[in-house]
Amino acid sequence: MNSMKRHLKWNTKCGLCLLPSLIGTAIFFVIPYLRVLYYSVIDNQFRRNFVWFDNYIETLTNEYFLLALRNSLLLIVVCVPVLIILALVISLALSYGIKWVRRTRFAFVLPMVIPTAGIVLIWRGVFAENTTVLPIYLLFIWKNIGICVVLLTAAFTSIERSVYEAARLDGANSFTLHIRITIPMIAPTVLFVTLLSIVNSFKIFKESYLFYGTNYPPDHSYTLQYYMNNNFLKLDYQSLATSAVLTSILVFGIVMAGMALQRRYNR
Amino acid sequence: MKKAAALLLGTALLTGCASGSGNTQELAADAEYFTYPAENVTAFDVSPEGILYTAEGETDSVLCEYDLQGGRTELAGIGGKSEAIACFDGSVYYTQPADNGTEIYRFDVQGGQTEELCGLDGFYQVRNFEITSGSAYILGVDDSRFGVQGTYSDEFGNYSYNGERLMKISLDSGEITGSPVEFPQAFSVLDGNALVYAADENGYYFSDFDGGGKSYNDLGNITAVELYDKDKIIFCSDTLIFKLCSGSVNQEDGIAEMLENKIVLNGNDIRFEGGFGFIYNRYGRFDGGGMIERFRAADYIKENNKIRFISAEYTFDDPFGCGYIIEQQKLDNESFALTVLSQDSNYDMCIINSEQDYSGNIRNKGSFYPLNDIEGVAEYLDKCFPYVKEAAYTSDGEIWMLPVLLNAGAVYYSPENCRSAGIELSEDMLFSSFIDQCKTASRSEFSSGYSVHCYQLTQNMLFDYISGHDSFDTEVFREFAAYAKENANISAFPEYMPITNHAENNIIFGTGEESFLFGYIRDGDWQKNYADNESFRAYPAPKLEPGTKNTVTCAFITVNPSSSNLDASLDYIGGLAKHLSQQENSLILADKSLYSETDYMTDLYKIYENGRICFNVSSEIIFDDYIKYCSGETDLNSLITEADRKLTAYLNE
Repeated sequence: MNSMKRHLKWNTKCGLCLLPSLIGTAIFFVIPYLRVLYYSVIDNQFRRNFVWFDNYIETLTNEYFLLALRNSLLLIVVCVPVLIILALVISLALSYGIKWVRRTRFAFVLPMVIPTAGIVLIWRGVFAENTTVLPIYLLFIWKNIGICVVLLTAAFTSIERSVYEAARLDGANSFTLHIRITIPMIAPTVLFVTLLSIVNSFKIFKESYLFYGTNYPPDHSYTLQYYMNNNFLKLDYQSLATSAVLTSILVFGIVMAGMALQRRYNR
Repeated sequence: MKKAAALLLGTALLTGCASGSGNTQELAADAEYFTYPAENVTAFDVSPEGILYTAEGETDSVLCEYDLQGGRTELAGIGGKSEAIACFDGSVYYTQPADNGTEIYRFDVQGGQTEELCGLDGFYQVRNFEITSGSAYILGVDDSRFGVQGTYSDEFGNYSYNGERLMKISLDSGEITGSPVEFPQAFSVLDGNALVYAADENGYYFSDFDGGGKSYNDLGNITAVELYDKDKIIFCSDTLIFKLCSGSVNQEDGIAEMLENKIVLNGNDIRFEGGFGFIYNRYGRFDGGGMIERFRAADYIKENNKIRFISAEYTFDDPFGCGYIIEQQKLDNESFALTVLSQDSNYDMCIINSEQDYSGNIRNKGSFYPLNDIEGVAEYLDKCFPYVKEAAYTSDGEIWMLPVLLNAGAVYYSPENCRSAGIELSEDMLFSSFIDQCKTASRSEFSSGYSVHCYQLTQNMLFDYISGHDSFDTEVFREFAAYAKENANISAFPEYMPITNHAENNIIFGTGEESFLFGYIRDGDWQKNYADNESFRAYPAPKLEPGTKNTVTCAFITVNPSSSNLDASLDYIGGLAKHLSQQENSLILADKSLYSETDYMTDLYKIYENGRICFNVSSEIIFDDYIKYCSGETDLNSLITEADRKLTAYLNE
């Protein structure tokens, strides 16, 4: 009985500690999201007539939404793997202590501190003649590589040396060490970094906007952020709300898939 | 410090109010606005009962009284001209200039006798004369102060000190006291207290008679002020030209415009009694005379009601206040969209121009309060040009906006000078032929006598084009772009397309109309400046295609349905609609009798009558690419491809 009381007390204490955070999440995330959901099923926020899924049908059949969706997914498919592989290689080099990589390590975190407008100016000069999507892809990789390297290097260095030494004593070679020890131990961080990069890929708007200087970039660089931003400026809240909901479902789906993958790998 | 001073002054005035009856008893007048049939008035005052006393005539003047319905009774002859009068306790006191200064007389209305009260030696040009609690206050030019330099210089150069001095005369003892306020401009009295408006080296301020409780403000050069309740004032200022305004001494609530087209020159020309204001309005009179007008204050002074406007990257003069205090906030596009979409209750209205991207979206997305039930709005729209009325209604018959200003491109010109210079302008002028005329003008002897803003002209041509097309891949656009690049290249600023502005226009006119040829402008208010000019004419702006209507942009107001101040907003809209429907030379109303009868104004009327309003994409969508094309960074085909891509995306996303 006493133990149960103590348990209840403990649960109450935990609940109270969590309460501020839960209230904050409800006020700043849950309630606004529910409101966006509501706005996505009405004709406009002033008259508020329910149109149910008409807005979704309209958005999903809009050629520019589909174009934006395609470009955003393409950015994930192309850039995120490149970014992760590059970050892994650099992190590995840093944790192995390769001299020239160590000397230039500050360069990898530099993009995180340089203002975007400054970077874009240089980018515009370098890629003045380029009419492909390459500058935006490179800008995304360059901008995000710093945080990926920091996180992955931390993951590498957190692996205990004794684990490697024990494996070596058991006769493991370098390849086996990486396959059997390094990769499994850094896998959660890799997954986290991948998800973080995917989320960041949806936010590559400011850089792109500054690079092209217009709300209407070339078709290959027209992403979901442009679609939403332009509809916002046109006061079309319903298109904005439906595309935001659809984007959130997409991101949620990717995160869920990533977590399922991790669980499967851990088993 | 300023607040403390204002508080002190306010308290002093409040204390003063408590001792007298003030202006609390409303007069039994019916009409909201009334003009007295008084002519040749040189001075007037109003008794607490609402009887209007006037001094009429420059020579052989008479004192008269008018009842509330305007019935006139002549009281007595007073000989020479009276500069100011004040009624108090059954008598009318009046001033008359004398050889050595000013003399003050008292006329007993009941007894019909006149007696000289006192004389003020070396005191001339009385600006205001008022009596309260047994003391007369008089503002005029003191000989001994003449030539003294004022210590303040306002930014508009309106302030000048001509030796004015404020004096107080005790009606019982005849004792005369000078106010220590050095540079008084105007004053008003209420319930035993005087409120003085003056300037010192720090600017304009209000104070009491002794110069205490200074409250600085930015009302500018006030020509007349009347204290009507505690620290509330009605005034006319050079900074709010031709307008009668209300506010408070400490300006905490801001300034409300009450009436337009009013010129009140002297302190003696404005009075307040029993809930009514009385002014001597000289607007539209070039003979120096004017009319005495009476208005019910409650209809024009809306206490403590502020109308809060928002606009997005658009500069627009505050719309007329109609008794409300107008507060305008200019936001960037993102903030504007956020404010509207978030249904912010802290703004009341949007002021938008039809050439702005989201102008039509406000209508399409229903972010407006329907104005159908607001008295005066539908009536006003009925008076507007038909296409303006059509634009103000949604397809469901709701009135979604109130149009306040139209702008159509126009070429105003001097027919005689153009003929002499070999300039041939016409009504159906195309862009290319207009540029040819600019070239001819630049080679003529009047080469500095024309004004065309190349950048503005190009932007307007692009807007004109977008208003009628949804693609740039047309022969019309190709011809325009190629011709403009060659002959009116905005990145090269050709000599025959000078970049001019209004100031330079003034120089052109300052040197005399004999050197003026023509000018191009799309600002309706600017075009109206020449409304009474007998020698000018006007043609519509050059077009890209013959036979098309004139593209007109419309500045309009929409009401925020979520406003926390909705009742006041709707009342304001009703007042504004009534105000706008009486405007002369408005270029928005269809009634021809409201326009000056000059040929120039008739031409302008035709231009605006034959207009169309489009709520479309802004010309900004192509402008950057167009500039690149003009500077040779890109070719015509690339420009068209790029512009079409953006336009298609805008229209379809």
